[in-house]
Amino acid sequence: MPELPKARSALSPESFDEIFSRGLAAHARAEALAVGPIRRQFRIAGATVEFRATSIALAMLFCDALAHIEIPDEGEPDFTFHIWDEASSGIDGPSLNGWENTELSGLSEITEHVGLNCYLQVAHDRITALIGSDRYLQVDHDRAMVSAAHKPTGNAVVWLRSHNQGLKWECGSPLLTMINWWASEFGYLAVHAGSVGRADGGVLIVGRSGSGKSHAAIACLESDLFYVGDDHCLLSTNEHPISTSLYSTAKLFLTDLHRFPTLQKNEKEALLTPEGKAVFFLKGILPDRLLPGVPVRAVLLSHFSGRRDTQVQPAHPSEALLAMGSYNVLRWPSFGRTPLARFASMLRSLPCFRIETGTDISQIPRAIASVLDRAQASETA
Amino acid sequence: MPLTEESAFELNDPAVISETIDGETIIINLASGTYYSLKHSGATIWSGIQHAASVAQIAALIRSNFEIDSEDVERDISSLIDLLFEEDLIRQKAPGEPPARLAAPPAEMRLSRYQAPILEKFTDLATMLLLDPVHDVNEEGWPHLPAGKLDA
Repeated sequence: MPELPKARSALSPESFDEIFSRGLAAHARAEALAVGPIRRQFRIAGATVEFRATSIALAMLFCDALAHIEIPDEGEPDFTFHIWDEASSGIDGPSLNGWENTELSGLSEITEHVGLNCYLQVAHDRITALIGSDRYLQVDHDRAMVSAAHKPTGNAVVWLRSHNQGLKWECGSPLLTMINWWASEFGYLAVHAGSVGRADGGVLIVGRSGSGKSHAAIACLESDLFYVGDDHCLLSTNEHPISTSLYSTAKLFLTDLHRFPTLQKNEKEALLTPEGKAVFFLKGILPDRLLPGVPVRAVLLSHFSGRRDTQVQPAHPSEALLAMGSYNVLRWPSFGRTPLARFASMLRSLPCFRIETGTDISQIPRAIASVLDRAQASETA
Repeated sequence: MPLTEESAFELNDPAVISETIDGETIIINLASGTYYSLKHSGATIWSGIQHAASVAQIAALIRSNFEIDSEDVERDISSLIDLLFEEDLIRQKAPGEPPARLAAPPAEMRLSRYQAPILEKFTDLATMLLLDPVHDVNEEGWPHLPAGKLDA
């Protein structure tokens, strides 16, 4: 692992660009040495994104959750992730030495040099991320991973010490922060929400962790409704909001698995997380139930009632804003006021409902379908 | 805090962001990770603060836009401003700065029956920011540390 930067250090765009060039060169060396380098392309936020991994294990780690939005090779991609690990290639990560030479003394100067939209994240007295509108650098100390991206050239480098070093459980939603940073350029926001629906319209399911979002979305896998996501979606909040599928994974606590027979049958294929959840890769289990995205017709504020029956009732949009705004804004404070304004704008134009989900899972998709019918009828009227 | 009729305030930009929807204002303090729901006449008072209105202007706005049978409007405004101050959501406007144009209250609240403002505070997500302790923001919204904070 390259020597880590200290919190007192700073980074100029020139130093970043040098680090980044060295990272690209290191990946090229690792790719040249690789027995079977992998190139896969995906449609993310309307763009063609290529993942170039130096081993099958790495490709699985970062690409399996995206398998449902994989596309045939379209040639030159809009953005490329260059991924390698030291364990299999022997090639070290990009040296961060340049960051340690304190070229600038204060962060106000960093913002001046890196760009107005600059975000420096510090945890445990160590810099973990430097995020600007064009440049992104994240150092994951615990899992020995460095990722950096350069928007103007459409490239990112992702270096790991080893593909199996504490990262396995994260393959359910790989590179979420960086994808969110990159996709914001196109008007998309990664939101902590589930989404299901029909081809002509769906719902966004919002609520706190543990409020039953995933349950509600996953329950629809056993119904006529299609699945966009259970935990994260890319939301485009233009005049007609669209929730776009990012990961085709479904996460459930093992203790809840008995309620979802189709997934239970595939338990052996699931990945277990340290928190006791099973992560299912749905492209291999229920490929026909997945949709790449839906126009959002209504917003559901989820709450797990614990009772048998599921109930739906109208909700104030302010309740939904309180739930989705607070979490999604505070999770990525670097986006400032923009997400809150976009969520509010969306909620002013869409009907909101509170869904009290019950233990009889079959009732959930029926309740959501009835919301969609009501929303559609009200649009037509 | 002693208030006069001429006292005026402004949001603690850029850390404090807000949106009003359906007569309720959702306020988020990006610096502390705390968020709030401001209900009833609170949304109108907040709107007045956003537009740098004086306490007298805000009181007049409320009296002209709500059905009021209470004599406590000024006291309610003063209490809310004290709370917002304590929560670091607003700051006093420098004297001499011209007030901005006063905004009308949210349409759905106009001419409704006056209800005292209620500020509800939520701290359950603050730990999310504590994990990422740098979250100061500049005008564009991207957090940054103020100069010198790294030396602390």
